[in-house]
Amino acid sequence: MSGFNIAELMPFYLDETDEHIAGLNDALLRLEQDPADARALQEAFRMFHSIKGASVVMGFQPVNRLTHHLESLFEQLRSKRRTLDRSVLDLTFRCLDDLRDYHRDLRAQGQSDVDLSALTAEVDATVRGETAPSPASASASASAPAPAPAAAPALAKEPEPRPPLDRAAIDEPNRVAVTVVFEAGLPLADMKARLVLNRLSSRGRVISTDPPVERMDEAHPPSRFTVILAADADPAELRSLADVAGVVEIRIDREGSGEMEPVPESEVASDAGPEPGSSAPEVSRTPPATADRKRVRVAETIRVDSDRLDHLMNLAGELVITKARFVAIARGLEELFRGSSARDEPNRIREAREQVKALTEAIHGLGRVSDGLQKGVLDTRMVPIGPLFERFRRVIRDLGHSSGKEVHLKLGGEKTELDKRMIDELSDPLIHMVRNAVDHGLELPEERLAAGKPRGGTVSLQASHRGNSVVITVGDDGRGIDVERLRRKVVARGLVDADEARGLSDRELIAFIWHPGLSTAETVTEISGRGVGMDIVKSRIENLSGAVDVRAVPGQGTTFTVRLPLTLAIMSSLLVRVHDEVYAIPLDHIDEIVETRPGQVYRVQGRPAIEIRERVVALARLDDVFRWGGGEHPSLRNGSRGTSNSNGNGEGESRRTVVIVQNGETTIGLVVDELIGMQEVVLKSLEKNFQAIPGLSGASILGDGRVSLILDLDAVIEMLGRRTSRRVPAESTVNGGV
Amino acid sequence: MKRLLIVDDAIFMRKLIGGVAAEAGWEVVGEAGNGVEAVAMYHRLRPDLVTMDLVMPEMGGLEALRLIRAGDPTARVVVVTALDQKQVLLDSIREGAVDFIVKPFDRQRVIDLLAKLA
Repeated sequence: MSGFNIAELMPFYLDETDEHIAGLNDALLRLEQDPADARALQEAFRMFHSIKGASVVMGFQPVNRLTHHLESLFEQLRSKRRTLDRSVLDLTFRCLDDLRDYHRDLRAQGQSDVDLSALTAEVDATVRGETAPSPASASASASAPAPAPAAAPALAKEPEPRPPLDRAAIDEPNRVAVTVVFEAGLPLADMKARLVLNRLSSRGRVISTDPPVERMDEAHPPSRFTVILAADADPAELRSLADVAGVVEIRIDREGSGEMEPVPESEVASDAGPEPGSSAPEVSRTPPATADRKRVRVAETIRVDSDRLDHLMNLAGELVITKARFVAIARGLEELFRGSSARDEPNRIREAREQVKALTEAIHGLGRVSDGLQKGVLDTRMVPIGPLFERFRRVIRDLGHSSGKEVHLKLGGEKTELDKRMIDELSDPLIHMVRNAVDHGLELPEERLAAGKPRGGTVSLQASHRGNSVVITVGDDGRGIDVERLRRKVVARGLVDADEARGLSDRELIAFIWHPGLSTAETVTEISGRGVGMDIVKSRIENLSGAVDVRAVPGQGTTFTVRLPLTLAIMSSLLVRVHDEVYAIPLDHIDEIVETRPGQVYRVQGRPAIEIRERVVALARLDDVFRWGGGEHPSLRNGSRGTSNSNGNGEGESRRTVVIVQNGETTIGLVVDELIGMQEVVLKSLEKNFQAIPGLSGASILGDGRVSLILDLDAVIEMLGRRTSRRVPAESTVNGGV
Repeated sequence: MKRLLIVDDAIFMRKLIGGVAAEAGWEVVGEAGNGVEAVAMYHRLRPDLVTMDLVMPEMGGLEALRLIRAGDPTARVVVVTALDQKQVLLDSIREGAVDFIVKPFDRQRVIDLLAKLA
């Protein structure tokens, strides 16, 4: 009987509840546009109903109580006994927010401290405020408090229970009294009685019942129920008809014979069930498995298209076939070389050659299968970003209301897929960027009109794939970033002194919005009270191995660009050798690879640079970024320069291989000693296995067992940028060949 | 082994009922997420019993019960209901539901019910 644990249902419960909450937000937004949208009302009702049903099974009473009242509220709306006004809409939105928070806590720590009681009382009062004074509506209500009095006569019209027991008995020759005894505390015992009545009525004419059907309701649940009917059916058949779940005893009494047939099948009901008269729907019959659930983080689940799983199944099948091929080849080779066989040498060589050919083919097949498996497994983690974007309709609505601005949301690329974990982690940073766009980017309607723009501002969320990355942009068509204001603020906050601030370019100033000292104080709004600063946005995205960048055009708007790897686990890289070590450069950062001749290297501001298609690109070596044990690379220290360049900057006597890399903003030429080739590398955390090193995003193990370090190019470019800003004035701008 | 078709729009509920049914010795032969699916699956699978949620998208449980029983008057359908859906429950009893399960449900009660209907 054991082995079925309700806690195992938790992930399903949480996922579905999240979906329902998202769906409810969507339905409410539609209702806000058209309060009479019957479909949306019906959907909202159904989703509250679903959450209610599931929450009580899981033992989350506060959720159950709140959704119970919300369901009643939407029942009133659905049956047109109430019209949807602003206050109801806002109340419901607040409920959804708290429900979302409640379940978020539940997911994170297995329990929740979110208090839903105040909202529950508020919704209850709203529901009652309407039902109490209006007597006409009370009887029509099918919701919980009303026991649906109209229901009883509807069924009773068939059996016609009017005549009292004794008198009806007189002129019925083959009367049978069927009595059922209900289990103590059986919910809806009155309905069970009606069920028994209905089932029995298929085998005879019902004369009367005790208690009469119309006197039964939830307030007076019958503990036993007798049906008197005129029937020729045999007792066994009647008994099976009366034997519904919840019945513990059946007596069949043929009038006149006085015989009683007790049913011994189950234990006789002991009465004194807890509050037999109570019908409070909130009472759970399933005690929550509290002990198990305490502080347990809920396992993450993911829904995968069955097509994708089928594809994996096929690949697994192919893998088995490939294995069989290897076994066959191994066996063939073994036989070929076993002892001195009768074969002559030329034959042996010919056969061996064939086996080697077969082996090559098998390896080729294995490669195809393993690539497919790798991609297939990764694909199971990929989900479209659409649902995350859709949530922003609600965010935009709230922001528009609170800021007094008219805001339209434009979505694009909703089908773009990325790793499930990234979608989860992206939510907060995106919300913050969107909030920033509305609060600081968009102007008030009057200002916009004065500036010759449409009254309503637009915030756009776009996603797209670019190579091995996903690019998400959050843009607005507002005022852009006021650089002068930023300059004053940077000085006021003491981040730089006034002189230095004057020398900062617009780009350098805008970079300060990521500074912790600036962003938080500036951007907290009352919208959620859970604001994260722009610095947190940046660090969250960097934690996902991503990068974020901002561009602003005065008067035209601001665009945040987030670039993320398609997946966290695997990246396509170019392997290069620098000194004696192999480094992996993520392909999506690479523009091109060029070879330079000595005469092509220039000095710009004291730094080597080359010109590529009329664009000057600064050259750098990893030695400019990394220190090995606090100094130069050991191979340089020993004086054995090897293939490395003496001044470390790619100038010199021989040709240099330069990998042109960019981070979307800055392009630099990275001088390497040798190109090795392209490879998919599996990213392992340095932080977990060793320690975090700025400029490296991780390490990977190569096919030959060596470790290669994976460059974090965003960091490398930034570190190089810092180096150039520490420029020495005297050396600046020396042009010409070296 | 008796064969069961579970109809509920919540995967969560389907898992819950499926778990209890397995414990009671039933084989779950199908799961439907709405009334339309339920009717189609019933006629394809011909299960010994159906558990039918009442509130579902596209087509609710009552309508599905009606259609299933119209196609097969011997169909046995157990309605899964909340405490406050008495009107629909009453209608489904009149449409020939063999029994009903009240949500939130007591597992032992469901097991007893399935045992009775086996």
